[in-house]
Amino acid sequence: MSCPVVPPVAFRQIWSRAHSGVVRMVSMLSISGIAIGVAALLLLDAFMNGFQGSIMDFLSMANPALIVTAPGGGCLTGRDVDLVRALAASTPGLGSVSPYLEKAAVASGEGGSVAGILVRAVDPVAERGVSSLSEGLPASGSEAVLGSELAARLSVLEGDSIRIASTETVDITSSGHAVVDTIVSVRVAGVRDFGLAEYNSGLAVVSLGTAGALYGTTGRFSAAGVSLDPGADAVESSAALSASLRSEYVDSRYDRFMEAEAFLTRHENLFRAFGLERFGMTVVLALITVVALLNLSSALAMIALEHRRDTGVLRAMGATPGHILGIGFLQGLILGVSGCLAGSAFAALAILAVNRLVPLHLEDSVYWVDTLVARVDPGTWLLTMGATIAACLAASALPAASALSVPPAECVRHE
Amino acid sequence: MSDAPALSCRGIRKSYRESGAVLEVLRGIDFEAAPGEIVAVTGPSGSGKSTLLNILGVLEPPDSGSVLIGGIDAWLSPEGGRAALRNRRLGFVFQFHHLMEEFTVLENVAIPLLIAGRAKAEAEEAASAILREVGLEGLTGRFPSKISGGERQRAAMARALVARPDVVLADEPTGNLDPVNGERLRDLIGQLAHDHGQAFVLATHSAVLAAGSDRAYRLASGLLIREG
Repeated sequence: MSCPVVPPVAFRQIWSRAHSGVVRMVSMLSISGIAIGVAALLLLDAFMNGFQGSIMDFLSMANPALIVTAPGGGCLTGRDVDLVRALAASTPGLGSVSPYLEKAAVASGEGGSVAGILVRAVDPVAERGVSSLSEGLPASGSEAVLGSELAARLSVLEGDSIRIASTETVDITSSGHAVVDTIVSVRVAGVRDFGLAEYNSGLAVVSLGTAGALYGTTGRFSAAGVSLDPGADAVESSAALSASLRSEYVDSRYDRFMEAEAFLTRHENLFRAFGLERFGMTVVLALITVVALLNLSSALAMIALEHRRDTGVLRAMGATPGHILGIGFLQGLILGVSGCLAGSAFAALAILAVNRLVPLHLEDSVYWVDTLVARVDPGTWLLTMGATIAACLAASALPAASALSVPPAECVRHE
Repeated sequence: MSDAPALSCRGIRKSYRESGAVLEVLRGIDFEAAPGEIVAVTGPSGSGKSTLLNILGVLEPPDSGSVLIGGIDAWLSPEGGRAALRNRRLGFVFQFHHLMEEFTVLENVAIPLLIAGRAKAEAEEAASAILREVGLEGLTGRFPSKISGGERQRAAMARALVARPDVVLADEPTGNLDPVNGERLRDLIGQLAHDHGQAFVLATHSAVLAAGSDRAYRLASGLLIREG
């Protein structure tokens, strides 16, 4: 196989100008087929990664990586949050802790527009260590950051005021009128694109102080958000924190049972659906590669047939069966590697074009994200190329064996 | 010239089955060629000359009998051993030159040495030397399609000789050449056999080529008959 005659024979038979250039054309078509198959798989992977990653990023940006709650709907207290902080500090991979309160409310703008909203009350300083939600929210004062669509619905801009009414403190009078006695007026500190359509259309981020005035719930929280260190696995870290919390409850007889959950697992069905979709599309697109491999196999068989006489001459000159098989496999390798490189180059250019030059816009109310970006996973990229090259080698086996099957005397017989 | 045969065979039999009938092509061939000797085998088309050469050249197995090349029983050797025999001890010249179209004359001639594992530069140096010897030194960079039929056949002869084999088997080497080129090739064979002490076994229709040999046989009815 390592004989110095194998590479030049393999290479020149593929690019042969003899036989009216048919062999060369067939070789080019084989490379094109493999290139298309590889490019389709790489582009699918990159765009699925990009789409899924964008949604994960936006979800993660607006939310903490882990959320600690008290099952059953109970609120957390400052003491509970302190315990979470202590456990997070001693658990590898976990970072800051920031409690928050989340409640429904009604907001009205200066022009009288009204909208149902979700109020997320955070400690602006502590929240910065956990998520980007509090960006633009001053550390103190009665101010709010609104989602861009919500601000438009309320017809307010940065610096305007809105009024927020708690829906929890509504009294119904004997005449049937609803009396809302807790209304606070807050200044719009910022209008933001949170990245998620549902947050943009209904989220108002305020400080815990403002929420205390609105709901009268000082010192009580819906949950505590916990950040992750870079590279830490959310699911494993949440399991570790949950185990610590359970241990505190069971062994140390702490009076509240709490549980940690990775935020993204709340969207598990969504990501499973992504996975299923990706699998289905990969199978469909892999069929292109399968067809290309069949094409490669028939091309190699044709090359072997066209050079049958040369094979006989090589055998007559002392080439071993290993040399002949080596030529066949090397031809498959050359065509496979060329196809993979061409497909990779095409995919890389397409990804570059979409990410830098011609962005693909999506309907954000449908897809949550407004731009489709491609993200390359080098591991998957290399795996795709490696698997394709291995498949090309496998597809070369039959033509290589067929070249060997004809007795050399038959190959060199008079024409 | 040593008396020990470079090539010998004993009791070679070969038959083919065709449409249920058995066609016996070789019926017990005993034969030998000494170093530097030119042996011609003549006979009509279909008499089995090419089959005999293929068996002697370890390209096609006989039904029975043995082929000894340099004292080694070729058909008892494993496949790797037979390939080594073809590479180091045998050279082939076919009626149609069978040069590889994708390679230059020099590269074609160097191929047996590359198969033997020699480095490219070394193989091409040896190929250049043998091409000089057959008078093709000016055509080394040409492709087979760009040279004449006589030049191709001389290039094929150079390829058969480049590894300095003990025996050269030539199947109708002048069959595709005009009389002038045929005579040139005959003279070349005579000179090479004399200069290098290689045995030449020629299967031919050509009376001229047979007349120039040291021994001539006629193959008829599956048997070799000594003619001269």
